[in-house]
This record gives sequence, C-alpha cells and structure tokens, in this order.
Amino acid sequence: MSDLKQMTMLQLIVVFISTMIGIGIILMPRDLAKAVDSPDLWISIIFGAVAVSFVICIYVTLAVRYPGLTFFEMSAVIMGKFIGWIFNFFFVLYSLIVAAYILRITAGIIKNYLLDTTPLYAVVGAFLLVSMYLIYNGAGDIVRFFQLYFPIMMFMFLVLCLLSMKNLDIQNIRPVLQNNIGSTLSATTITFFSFLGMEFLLIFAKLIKKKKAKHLLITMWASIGFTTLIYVAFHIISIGVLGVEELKEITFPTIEMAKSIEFQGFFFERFELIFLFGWLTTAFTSFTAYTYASTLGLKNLFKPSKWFLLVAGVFIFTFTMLPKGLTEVFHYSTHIQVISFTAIVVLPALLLVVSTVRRNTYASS
Amino acid sequence: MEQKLNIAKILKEKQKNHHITIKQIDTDDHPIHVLYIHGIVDIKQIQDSIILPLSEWEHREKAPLPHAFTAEPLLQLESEKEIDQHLLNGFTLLFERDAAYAVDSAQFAYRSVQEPVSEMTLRGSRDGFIESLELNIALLRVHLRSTDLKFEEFTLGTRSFTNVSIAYMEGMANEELLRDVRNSLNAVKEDYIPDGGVVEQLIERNNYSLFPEIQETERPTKVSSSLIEGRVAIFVEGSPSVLLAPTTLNALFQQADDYNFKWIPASLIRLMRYMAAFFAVMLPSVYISLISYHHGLIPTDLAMSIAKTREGVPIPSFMEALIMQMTIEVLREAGIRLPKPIGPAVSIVGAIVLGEAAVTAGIVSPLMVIVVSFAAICSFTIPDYALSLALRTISFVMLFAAAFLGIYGLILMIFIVSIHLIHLQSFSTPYLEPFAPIYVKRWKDSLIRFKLKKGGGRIE
Repeated sequence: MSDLKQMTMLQLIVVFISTMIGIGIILMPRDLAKAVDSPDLWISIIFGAVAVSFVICIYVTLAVRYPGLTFFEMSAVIMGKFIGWIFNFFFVLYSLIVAAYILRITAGIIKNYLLDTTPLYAVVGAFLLVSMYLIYNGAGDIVRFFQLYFPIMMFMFLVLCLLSMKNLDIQNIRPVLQNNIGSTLSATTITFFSFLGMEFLLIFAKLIKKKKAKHLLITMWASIGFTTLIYVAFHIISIGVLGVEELKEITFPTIEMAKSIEFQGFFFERFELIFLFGWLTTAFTSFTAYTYASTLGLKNLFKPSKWFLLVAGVFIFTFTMLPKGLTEVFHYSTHIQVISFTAIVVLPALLLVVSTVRRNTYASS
Repeated sequence: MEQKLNIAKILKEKQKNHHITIKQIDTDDHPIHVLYIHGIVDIKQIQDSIILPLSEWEHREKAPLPHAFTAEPLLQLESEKEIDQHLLNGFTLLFERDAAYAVDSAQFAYRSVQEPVSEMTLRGSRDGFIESLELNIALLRVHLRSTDLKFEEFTLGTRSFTNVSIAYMEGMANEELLRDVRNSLNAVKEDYIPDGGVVEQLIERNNYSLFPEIQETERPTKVSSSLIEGRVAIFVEGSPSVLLAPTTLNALFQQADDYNFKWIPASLIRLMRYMAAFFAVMLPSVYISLISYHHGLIPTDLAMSIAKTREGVPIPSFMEALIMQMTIEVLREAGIRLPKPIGPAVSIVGAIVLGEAAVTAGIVSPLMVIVVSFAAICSFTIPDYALSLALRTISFVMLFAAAFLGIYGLILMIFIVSIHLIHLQSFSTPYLEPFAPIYVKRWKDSLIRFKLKKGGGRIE
C-alpha cells in the first residue's frame, strides 16, 4: 500500500499546512518589519492570505476541469506537447530552485545555531538523503509522515507560544491599525510567498477523493486559514517579545524569540531546542514536498524511471552549494520570487485562459 | 483409490529400529501387528484400551478393525509417509492385512504449566504456554471458550514434520489476513523447524528491518485477547512462544496489567513506558551531543558541574558512551546466560566493580554512568524483548549520529526511524497504525488506555 490511491480532505489539509509553513516562519518577520515598519505588520499576512485565496480559485477550476491529471499532464493536454513541455520544464526548475532555497536556509540556520564548524555539504547532504529516503518510499508514505508529525509540530508551536507569553510586552504591539494602509498592503508581495506550497493542489489533484469545487475550496481555505493563524500568532508574539526595531536587525527573529525564553529553576532553561525540532520538521516537510514535485516533473518530462529521484537530488545539492553565504542567498530571493510568481500564478492562469478559449475538457477515465 | 501398502516390507523395515516396539496379536486367520515408539507413548493406555480389547475381541473375523474401538478415534492411514508421521507423533499403529490404522496414545515428556519468565505481570492469570501444541491449545480454550474459535493445521519442515496450528476467531479475523498467513506458512520450505522464532523469521517480509513484525508471547490471555481483536495466533509444536500476527508498535507496548488495573494509573504507566522507551533510545546520544556540540543549551550551573566531573577523563565523550553502552550490553547478555545462583554475582561485579571503580579510576565520568545506566533501566520497561533489542540497536546508531552531527543528526535519525516505521507493514497492517495513518477511534487504546465501557462495548 505504499502507493497512494486517494486522499481525504483532512490528509490534504495536513499536507498543505505542513508544506506552506516552512522557512517563511523564520525569515518573514524581518522582511515584514523592514517593509511595513510598524506593529501592524501581521495585517499584511492576512492580506497575503486573501490574495492567495484568489489564486486558489485558478487551481480549483483547473482541477475540476481536468480531474485525474497532475499539472504536468494538464499542461500537455491544454497547450500541446511542445509548449506543455516548456511549461513543465519551468515548473520543475521552479520546484528544484525552491527546494534548494529551503535547504540552503535550513542548513544556514543549523550551522548558525547548532553546528558551527561542521562543513556545509555534510549538513546539506544528510538532510537531502533523509528526504530522498522518504520520497523513495512513495507518495503514500510522504502523506503518512506528514500526518505523523503534524500533531507533534503543532504541539511544539503551541508550547512555544505559551512559553513566550511571559516575555510579551504589550507596549510593543501597540498601536494597532495606526499605520498607513498603503505600506501594509504593499507588504503583501512578501507575505504572498509565505504561502508557497498551495500550488501542490495541482500535483495532488488526481488523488483527491472528493473532486467537487466546493470541497476543494473548503480544503484550501481551511489550510490557508490555519496557516495564517499560525503565522499571525507567531508574528504578534515576535513583535511583542522583540519589538519592531529589533525585528529589523535580527536575521532569524523567531529563533531569537525562542532563545529568549528562560525558566529558572526548571531543569532545562532553554527552549529553543523545542522550537528547532518543530521548525526542522516543517522545513523537512516543505523540502520533501518540493523534491517530490520535481522528481514527479522530471519523470514526466523524460520517461518514468526511479533514477530521477537521484537526478533531482544531485540538482538540488548543486543549487544549494552554489551561493557562497547566506547574504548571497538573500540576494537571490527576489529572483526566486519572480520565478515563483511565474510558476504558480502566471502558468496556471495561462493554462486556464487557453483551456477556456479552446474549450477542451478532459473526460476522466 | 490408493496404492496398496506393502505391510510386510514396512514391518521388516521397522524391525531394524530398536526404539519401535512391535507386538503381534494372533487371531484365528490373520495376525494384527501393534507398533509404537517406546518412551513417547502411554504404555498403560495401550495395554488397557488397545491390546486388551483386541485379544478379547470375539467377532474380529466378521467385522473389520475400525469397529473394534468405540472411544478412541481410529484413523486409517494411506501412505508410508503418514505411517512414519503418526508413529513419530506418538500414535500407536495397527496393521491388519493390507490396512494400517492409528490410535492416539501420545505421552511426550513435558514440563508442567508455569508462569512465563519473560513476561511478568502483577495481576491476572499466571499460566504460561509449554512445549506441547495440544496442551497449549487446551490452555487457550481455558481463557476463550467460544464456538467461533477455529484452528487450522499445518505441517512445516520437510524433515522435522513440525506441527503448526493457526488459531483465529471466525468472523473477526480478516479473510485476507488469513489467506496471507496460510500462504506464508505453506511457502516455508525449510527442512527443520526448531522453534517458533524460526517460523517467525521465515514468514516475515522485511528481513532487513530491526523491528519485529510478529509478536511473540507465552501468555494464553494475551493470545485470547489478541484473537478477539481479529488477529491470528500461530502455535508451533515444541515451542512455548505463540506468534501473533499482525502486530503494531502500539501492540508491542501493551501489557496485560494495563487492563487489569484502573484506567488512570494504567494509562499513566503506559505513557511512562513510552517515555522510558524514548529515553532508552535517545538519552545517551542526547547527552553526548549536548556536551560535545551544544554546551550553550545546557543550563550554566549544570554545564559547570558536568565539566567538573569530566575533568581528567582521558577519552572523548563519544568513546566513553560507546564503551559504557557496550559494557551494559555485555553485562545483560552475561546475566541471561548465567545459571541463576551466579546471576547476582555478575550484577554486583558489574555495578560496583565496573561502575564505581571505573569512575574512581577516572576512566569514565560519573554523569555518563548515570545516563547510560538509566537508559539501560528504561529499556527494561519495554514489554517485548524483540522490540527492546531493536531499540537498543537503534540507540547505538543514535550514538554515531550524535557524534557526527549532534542534535541535528539525532533529529534526522528520528526522521529516518519514523520513515522506516511508516513504511513497515506487518501482514498488510501499517506498523504505526493508529498514528499514521490516523485512526482516531483507536486512539482509545494507544498512548493511554481509556476506561472500559460498561454498556457491553469493548476497547479495541
């Protein structure tokens, strides 16, 4: 039963939340603080969620029109073989780059906080190999892994939130809604990308049990809503604990926030380990989802073979090792955002437009 | 229908064997031969219910032999292979003209029913399985008197002809599971089956997995409650361990005591058992990774005292932990193999001489001794020995992961182990069943055990 035949709505929600929450929770507070420069920055996340909810409609329409097809198969059906191939190629490239980006940031944080003298390739390689082992076992196991770790992850985040309450300074959060709406809105360009992962609806669409548009929308909105809740909670706590000015300066504010928790008299006074475990799990799940997508895409571009997992692994490893330091990685992030936007908004939108114009639908077998 | 048995030839062959007793009872027109193997049969029973009736029997010319006995079932044998098998199983054979018959008269030497040594409980039944298949099934019937209880017989081993029985509750055991178990048993081509553990290894799928795919127990109550849950039990002749399939990680952590005490303390104990298992696997490696990579994560006062205890220890902490773990394993193995009177001596030598003296000599730090021995004690709480073996092996791998990549390596190792467990199946049942895939209804008897329902419901 290692191959997955169908997914329930709950499984899908777990997969989406696990994929969406990734490095965003670590990096976003700083970017947002720089862009918005006011305690209102969490409102941008809600704007981002609303924007993403509209993009979801494109996916849902596509998924309903072409039931039983993945993005890779859809694009060939809609755009024809050649253009479809280019679309797929771009999507695979996008997945590989995002996977490498997640991996690089993760490895950077690990090196920063846990293993400062260990060579980067060891940190990256170990992570990659474990993820490849999971993907090798099949999609069913990936979903079950996400399911197993989801409650653990949520529990850790909850514990962290509760523990941070002690350090929370309510003065830091105020004033609420005093910022001009323009800069809050413009930060949507940042928050939008923290919901990366929702495009996997187009990959998993063929496995979904209930294929009606209504069910898909509920699933997606539930996932986005829950993710937003976690993001907003974390941001409010980050602002409350560290303050906006400090947020702007710290590279990994969420971890610093976890580090600031101290309980004297308790056996362990430091709780960042709990956070690092929870967060490493989310990074692992996001990374696995992207590596899985790129493996699937590679199989679709060329011919089905087990070797493409290895090929994807080699590509991701190369991409990950390319940048010299984290500063260079952050430098690339704007380019990555452009690629992401093209892959997850422009391509599906084009597919939808062409498919509406040509009126070809696919009868599922 | 079948080829005629060459009785004369068989008799001639059997006469060469000194252990086989052959008695000839002469009747008016033809002799009847009685065969049995001395030592594994009940002589008194043969005398009273076979030889005596036969010699006093008046109408033997008219009626064929099957009518001679009423109480004992008389089987007609059709091949030489059957003759050998029944003779070896303690049957008494009767040869009349060209026909061969068998009467059960077995009386093998068995020990009496005792409490199983490897599975102790405080409350509940104390009987344990023994080496007899028939008596084991009788013991099971004591605890499960149901007409739905069904048995199927198999003969495994092309040379040892070991009798194997599967037991299941009709209507409760999944038909697919039954077919799977039957096929696996029929596929066994080994010539000698010494014990249940061999059958277990021959029918399990993932030979490279550390985790047991089949649960082994010596307690009839454990078998009966497993059968009620729809599982299948495999009895092997000559083995006190009964195999239960399928199994899950959760099932391996359960114990009879969990159900015999009130649910809140029982649940707490079970929760503690899970935590102890986690400590047994993780504690030494977490300790190493903390002191060799992440000093910053240890509270300052504790870090100071750790540094003080490690003063003068000449070997790196990883080697220290490895040596200590190995020592514990050696002590444990020695404790199992030694005769009972010498056993305590080993533990004294191990605990006082090795532990105390090694610390005083400055070879290991006292904190390391505490950590490793606490982990060892934790591993004793795991109810299933096969699972405890698996977890101990993993704890060694964890040591290496901690030595190379610290906490990060440990987290990745936890991922690897859980990926493996997610993939693992025991007869098509996912190993991590109530957790991944999630069956919320079965969480009632997982990490904690909810209260028993009084309205006739049953926890599963």
